[in-house]
Amino acid sequence: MKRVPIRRVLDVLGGLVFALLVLVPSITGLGALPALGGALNPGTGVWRLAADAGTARSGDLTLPGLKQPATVSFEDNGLAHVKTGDDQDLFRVIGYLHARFRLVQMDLTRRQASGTLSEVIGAATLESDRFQRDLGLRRTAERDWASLTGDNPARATVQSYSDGVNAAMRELRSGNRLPTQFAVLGYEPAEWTPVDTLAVQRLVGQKISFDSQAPLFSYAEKAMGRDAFKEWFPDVPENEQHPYAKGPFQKLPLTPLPQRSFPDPSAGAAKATAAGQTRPANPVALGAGAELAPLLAKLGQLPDSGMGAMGHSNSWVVSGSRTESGKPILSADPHLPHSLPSIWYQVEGSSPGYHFSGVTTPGLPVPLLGKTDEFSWGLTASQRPTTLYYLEKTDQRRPDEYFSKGAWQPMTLLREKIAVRGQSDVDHTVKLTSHGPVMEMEGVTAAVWWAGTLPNDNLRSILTMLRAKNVGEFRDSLRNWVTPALNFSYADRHGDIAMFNAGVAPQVDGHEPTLPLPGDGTAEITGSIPFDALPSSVNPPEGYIVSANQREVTGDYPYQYSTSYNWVLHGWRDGEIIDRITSAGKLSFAETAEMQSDWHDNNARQLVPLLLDALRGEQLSGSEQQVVDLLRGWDFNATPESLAPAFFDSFKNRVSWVTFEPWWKHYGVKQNPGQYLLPKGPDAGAWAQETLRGTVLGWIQHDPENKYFSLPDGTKRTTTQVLREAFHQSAKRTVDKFGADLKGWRYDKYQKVLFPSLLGISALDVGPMPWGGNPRTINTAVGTRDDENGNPLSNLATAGPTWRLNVDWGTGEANAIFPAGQSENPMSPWYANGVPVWMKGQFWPLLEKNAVRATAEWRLQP
Amino acid sequence: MRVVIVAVAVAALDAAALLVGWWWVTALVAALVVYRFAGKRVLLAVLAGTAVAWGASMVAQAGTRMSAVGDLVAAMALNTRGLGWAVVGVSLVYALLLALAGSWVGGVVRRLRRSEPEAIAEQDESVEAVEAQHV
Repeated sequence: MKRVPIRRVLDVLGGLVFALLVLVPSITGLGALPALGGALNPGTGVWRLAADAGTARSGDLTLPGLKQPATVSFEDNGLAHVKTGDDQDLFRVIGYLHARFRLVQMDLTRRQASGTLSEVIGAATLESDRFQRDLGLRRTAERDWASLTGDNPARATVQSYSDGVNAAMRELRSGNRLPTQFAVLGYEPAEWTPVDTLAVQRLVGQKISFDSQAPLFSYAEKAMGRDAFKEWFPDVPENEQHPYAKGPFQKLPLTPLPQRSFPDPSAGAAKATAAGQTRPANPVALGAGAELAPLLAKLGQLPDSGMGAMGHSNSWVVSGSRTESGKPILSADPHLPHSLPSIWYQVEGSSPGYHFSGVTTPGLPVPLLGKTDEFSWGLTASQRPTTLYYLEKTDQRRPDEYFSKGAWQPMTLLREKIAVRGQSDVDHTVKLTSHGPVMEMEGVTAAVWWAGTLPNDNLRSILTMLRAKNVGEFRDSLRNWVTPALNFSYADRHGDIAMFNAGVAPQVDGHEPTLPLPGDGTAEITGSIPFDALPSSVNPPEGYIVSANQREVTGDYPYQYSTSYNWVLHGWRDGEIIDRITSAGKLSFAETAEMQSDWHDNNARQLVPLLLDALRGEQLSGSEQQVVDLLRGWDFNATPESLAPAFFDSFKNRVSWVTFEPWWKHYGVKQNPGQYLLPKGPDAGAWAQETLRGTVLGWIQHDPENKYFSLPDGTKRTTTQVLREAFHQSAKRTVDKFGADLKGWRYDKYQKVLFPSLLGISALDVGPMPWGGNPRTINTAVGTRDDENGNPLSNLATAGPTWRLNVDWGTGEANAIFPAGQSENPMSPWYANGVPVWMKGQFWPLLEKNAVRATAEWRLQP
Repeated sequence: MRVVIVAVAVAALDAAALLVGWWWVTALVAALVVYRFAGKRVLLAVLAGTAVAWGASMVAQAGTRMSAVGDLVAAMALNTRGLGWAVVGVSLVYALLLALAGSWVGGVVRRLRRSEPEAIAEQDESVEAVEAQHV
């Protein structure tokens, strides 16, 4: 009798517990697990991956909001061609396309910009979210959207684009066809808003222009003193430079620039209590580099894509006097971190008011590089200072205040909650001084003024540019460009070539904006270089203009500008490009396209002959003689099969190490927390090393008696001794590492290229694959990752040319390629189909209008 | 015959619901069937119908690329390639767990509504069936 009720209770309880155990994770997920019901069910879960494989099939589709029917034609490689009967329809369809092929990327990008990644990723991205909220891209996007008036074409364009994105999302959602990655991540994307687009636009600028060079190099400046620092890290790099703007320059009055680049605190922002107007008893002076360590540690934790750690690019334009076709040729290849999917989505857009072919960024409605019927244009980053660091004085007894202009000022506090997947919300307080958002760690305060948060109407500039008919209109369209600071290369059908630098260039009286500034009110921004005084060149007599991130101007430029340590390139790629152009005779379209795959190392071209000279008469071992023979036969081409880079990789670093290492020890220069200012060892690269490579080469060439070749204790050394010592060390190291047999020295045995997945899942990466080149070659190969010990993986290229474009205005030929594909779906044949083509140095033709060979077509109806 | 009809009906209902992503119908159908019809065979029919519905739906979605899809999901979830078969297995086991949970709840409700001696007899049968599954 007793057994019955117990069994029944167990039966009921067991059923309930079992049901809960199955159903709760099905509905809510568990920890990092997504909701299993949504993820695993065949109808809408992961099993749709194959069905949503990202290709396009011909058919009739409905796109609400269209004013007229439109078409999207697809080539077999996935390239899209949009044709609409209305200008706004064009941007609506581009929004629709982006969402159909890149919705996951778009959502993660806007989340990164807005500081809401942790909500769907978890605590791993909390630091990124904190940083983004401090920087305030979302706040600035909201401000700028509110200020876009109805007559501004950018407003309608962004709205149409958002409508297109949302139409695609509604279609995907209603058909249970949202990208499967959402099922795996366990959430659905929210509606797209115009503010999202403006936030993504600012994130693109952040990736190119936000930098931490000022606090980083302040370690060296503080330890060495200004004079010695300037010898090592001069404004104009010591080695041969190729500025495209050679003067004479005019000193025009500065354009006004607000000291406050970020939005006024919005309603609801809690302000700090007003402070008394007394002078600080013991203010904390934050001028010493070492005290910036916590800030740098924080910056160093940002995801690669959040900092301008990799903002290289090439672009050159050659006038008809130097080309086979008799008309200009433009080549451009922006260098950014590789990713699958790519930052780029290539599209041809046709409407009554626009016709362009180029690359858009999912989230943005307009192309950033490409061509119209009238002209072609490219971009390179201009590495002049647009991120200024103000060292605020604070007092622990006066929390949330800073001392400026003779009085304590309250910081503006914005209290926010960051949603974090798998845990409770995290409180975050954004602190703002008059200079910008505050980075505060361990009582150290620095405020960041960044041009990227200034009011910005760049979309209007691009829309105006796309309608330009000649070089004058093109130039005028850039007049109000704000940020990032860029060089716009230009070549047109009329025969004109040009290069224009655009964007704000803050000036600070009496202080160098490339180093941390006092925040006490004595180093306020006095204005910006006016647009008419920024570097530019139009139809120069030499018949070409090259920009490869070198300093654009000569030393007599009458404004504060980039310095050798403000991550300019030191003349390597631009030198090589100019050599190729000037030695080519009449340049053909095929030759200029082939130049983009060039792996000649200009640093080696200049340094190796000096080394071979220095080794004359030197006693060499057998293996050392083998190295010398190898170098004598080397054409300085760092191809995958070449052998000499095995030695030169070490030698180029050891020359700087042998020269400077005793001195930075002597000066007591400290390493920054991220340990990327100074090389960790004789063969490691570092930020200072990049600059010193140019400095030491310039001294060897032009100042061989420079005192820094000798040792701090007074021991005299000549350049010959330095070169010989570096040689002996490098030869030994190369043999130790790769063996005495030259077969083991092949470059591609250790030089690789990797295309990482955007989701950070290595199983979805393409590569690593054997590769060539280095950061100094035209076909650049940059390692942006560290190994588990924090040492840079400089031979694992994870950044480089993300798109290659060539346009010949004489033959009408144009081609392009990017190392990825149009679709973000890893199962799609369009996921990474550009990678092998890109690796071979080949291209997809840039087809337009009737020349397009479409394999599928969407017919879109209102 | 009744068992076959139950299995086919369960498979049809589950498959139809899965077309629109209604995974919870799997548990609901199992609960309703077991509430209405008692017996070990019925439970087995429910499980069989569920497996067929989910398996067929997976094949319908992924086609010949089922292994590739599983492989990709394993890559996304576990950052490991080559475990596609495990994802297929996990999906099917998950479907059976849903059906089992529904069946248990359906059975409990039915037993609560029946007289005690009947309930005891059916409960014994149900527990045996569950144990049989575990074996």
